[in-house]
Amino acid sequence: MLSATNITVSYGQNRILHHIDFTAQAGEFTAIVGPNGSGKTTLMRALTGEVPYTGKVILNGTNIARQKPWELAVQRGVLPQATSLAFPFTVTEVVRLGLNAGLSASLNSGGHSNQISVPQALERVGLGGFAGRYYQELSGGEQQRVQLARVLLQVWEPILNDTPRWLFLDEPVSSLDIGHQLLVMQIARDFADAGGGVIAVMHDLNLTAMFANNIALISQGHLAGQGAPAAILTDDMLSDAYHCNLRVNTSPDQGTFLLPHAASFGAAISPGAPR
Amino acid sequence: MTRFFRTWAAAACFALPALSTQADEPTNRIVSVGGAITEIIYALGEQDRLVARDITSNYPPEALELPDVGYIRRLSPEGILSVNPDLIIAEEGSGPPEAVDLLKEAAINIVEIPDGFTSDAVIAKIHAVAETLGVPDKGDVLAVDVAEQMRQAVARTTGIQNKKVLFILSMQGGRVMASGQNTAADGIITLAGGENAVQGFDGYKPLTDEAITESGAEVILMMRRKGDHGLDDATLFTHPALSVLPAAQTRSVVRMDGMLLLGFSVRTAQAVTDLSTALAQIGG
Amino acid sequence: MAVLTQNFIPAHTGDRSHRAHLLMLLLCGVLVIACIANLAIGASGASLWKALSDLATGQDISLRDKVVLWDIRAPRVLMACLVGASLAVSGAIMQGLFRNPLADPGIVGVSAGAGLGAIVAIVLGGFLPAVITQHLGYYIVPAAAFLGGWASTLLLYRVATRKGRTSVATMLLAGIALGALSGAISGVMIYIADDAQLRDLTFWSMGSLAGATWSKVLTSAPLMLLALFVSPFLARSLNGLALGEAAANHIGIPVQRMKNIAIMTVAAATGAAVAVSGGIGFVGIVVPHVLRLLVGPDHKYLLINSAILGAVMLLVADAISRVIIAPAELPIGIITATIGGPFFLWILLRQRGLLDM
Repeated sequence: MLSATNITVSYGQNRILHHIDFTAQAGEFTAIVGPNGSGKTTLMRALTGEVPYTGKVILNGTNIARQKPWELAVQRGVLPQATSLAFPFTVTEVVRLGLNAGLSASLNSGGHSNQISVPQALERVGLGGFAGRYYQELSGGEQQRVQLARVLLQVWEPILNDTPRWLFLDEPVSSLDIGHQLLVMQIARDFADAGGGVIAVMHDLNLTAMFANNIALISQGHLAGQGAPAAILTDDMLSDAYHCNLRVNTSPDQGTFLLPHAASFGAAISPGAPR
Repeated sequence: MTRFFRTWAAAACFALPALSTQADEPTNRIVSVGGAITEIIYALGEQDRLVARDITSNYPPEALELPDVGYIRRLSPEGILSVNPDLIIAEEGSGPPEAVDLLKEAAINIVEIPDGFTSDAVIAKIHAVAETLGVPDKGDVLAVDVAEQMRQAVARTTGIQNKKVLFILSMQGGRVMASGQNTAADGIITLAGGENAVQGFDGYKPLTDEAITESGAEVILMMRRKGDHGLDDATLFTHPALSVLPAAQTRSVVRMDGMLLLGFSVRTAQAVTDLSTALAQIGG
Repeated sequence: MAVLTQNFIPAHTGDRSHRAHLLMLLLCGVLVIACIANLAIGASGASLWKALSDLATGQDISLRDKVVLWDIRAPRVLMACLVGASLAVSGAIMQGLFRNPLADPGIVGVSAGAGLGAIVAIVLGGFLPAVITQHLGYYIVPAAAFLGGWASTLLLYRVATRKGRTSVATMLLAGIALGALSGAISGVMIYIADDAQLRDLTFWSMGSLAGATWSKVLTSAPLMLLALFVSPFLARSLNGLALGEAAANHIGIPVQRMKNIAIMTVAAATGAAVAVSGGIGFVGIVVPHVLRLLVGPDHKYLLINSAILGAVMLLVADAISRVIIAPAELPIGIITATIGGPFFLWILLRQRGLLDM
């Protein structure tokens, strides 16, 4: 389990996050949603220890502030929004960085070496023929999937030594086409179903509705609510958080999906609308 | 007096065996480091014993045919060993010290000749070089000869009024590098009956424009260089500070061969004569 | 050059480690040959082979040959290897740390500080108390260069480190400021320097291995060897750092600790190298760059190959410097720059596309 209590993040005088309590369970896909600038990504960075914060983040029973980078690397992989490389690495060389981390980490924790290879990881993210390409030559979406392969390789087995491992994904599908969006979401979903934990910052509420078991809604640096999709994806909560009229629909065979409220379409493009 | 004599005698006793070994095995493979020394060796007629010279040894022209071991402060130990010398005779300040140590380790005798910018210093150099080469008699003859030339050259300069001479070593980016005191340039200007227009510091330094105008130089003295197109008189006097000097009004610029002018060796009498003649001609 | 061009294209599998291993073996061979050649080549006629056969048959070697082979050439070969390897490895580490292929050890202020130290020692050395000058002898300039390099690195590091985090960007900017400051102080020194000292300064800045003696090799080698031994342990971290500091941290790399080690290692190695050899440019940039084009940026191979190629490059440059105008000697910095400059330009011209990616 990951539990974060009373998380506050400030950049200088600006407080970005206010006293947020957040939990995520292994075996679940937990999505963090909210409008631009609400603090989703900042929350993710606090959870991974990337930005200084006050409060506590407990991962698998241990405060992450007390753990060494290599101890954390065994337990979780983190996919950033975008990664530019300093030097002309090939795709294989990039993905292998995850293998190195996973391997040495596994060896440190005594046992389980992952049997997975770089080509398998690339195959998994739909980049079978890309091993020999230069990373920098690839499109943004392809680069994003190369990075996903690297992160997957790091935590290939969702459970290691009876401890769940975690995937932290920061907008993993933002630069992907619809087909690859579904592929990546399914990979995350499978990871959760196999016992690992997934925490993802999401923009697309429909995809979130399709794949997440648990949703945290952030609005203006505060936690507007966290819970099962049915509890969070409601007309009122979303309209409130995103400052526009939204209607949540359900269909018997496709689950929940969202549409902007057709009647007030004009209001949808005025972000400053009163709550 | 007695004490002095005793000390001297003791020193002589130690020195004698060294001299005698030198006499037994005359050094016939000599590297000369320093243009002044090379000139003295040629003047002594001992040039056949030279096997190499340094980059500043460009007179007499025959010396240029010898292998060049580079710059006096950057001697290459293996380079010098390659000419298989048994004696290195060098001006003061040869180096780097590591190289000198290595050469000594290879059992090569290194003799440093003190430098100086007066007539006496030239004579002392001649004696020292001749002594080192084991030809003190030839040295005496040459020294007397040079001393006489110097005396005559200097004598001819009296009567010339003390002209203020500004020696310019180089001009880079409009900065005038001039000579202060304790330099060869200062020495030769004084010998030739002039006065160094720049006073108050040692060595060669870039002058501020104000210091240049302040100097009130009546003559500008420079080294003559091959292909020195950039510094003809016209260019020289476009420099704002130089252009207001008395020297600019009369276009008084003297150019002389660098080694002759600044070498302080056997040709210095000639340098004195050349310079004083030029000074006398300029501006009457 | 066809081989070179071919190698710019990554292998089909994107795995260039075999090629890197192969290159390592090849470079080792070249290094051995270069070492032997540098022992055998020189202005003087001393023959390595004759000396060896004389030794084997128990004959005496002439004093002069002994001095040339053992006291002049041997320490010089070692010095070239150590200095070349240190400069190239330091360059590779800095480029990895700063995530910039144009970084060189100068960025952490080593070169500026060392240069300033050397200049001050050359110009003001005469004013030191006799006790110090007697003890240090001709180590005054190297010692001052090393101290200067080390001090400026520490200063930059302090400026750039806040709350336990070192900002490489701040370090870069502070380095520029420090460079300007030491340039100004150097200017003052140059102003008060006399003619001979100016010459010494010029020659120092052009670099030379001519001062290599056994005692110099032995005093500077530990620092340079330390850096060479530490560098392989930085390889994985530097690879991770290519992803950015945050991502490196997430794959288990203790980024701050690694930065500390990298900066101190580079300061020590470069400081020692610059102290004994003066300003030898271009090795730290050209060598890692060429290797990245040949076998990729994986630091596991890049660092060790840089060490070997750096040593080879300096050996070749030194051999040229010793024989080209014999019996005089050309400063080695001139040679590394005249060979390195055009070669680097040629690579840039060929590889424009790749570098812009």
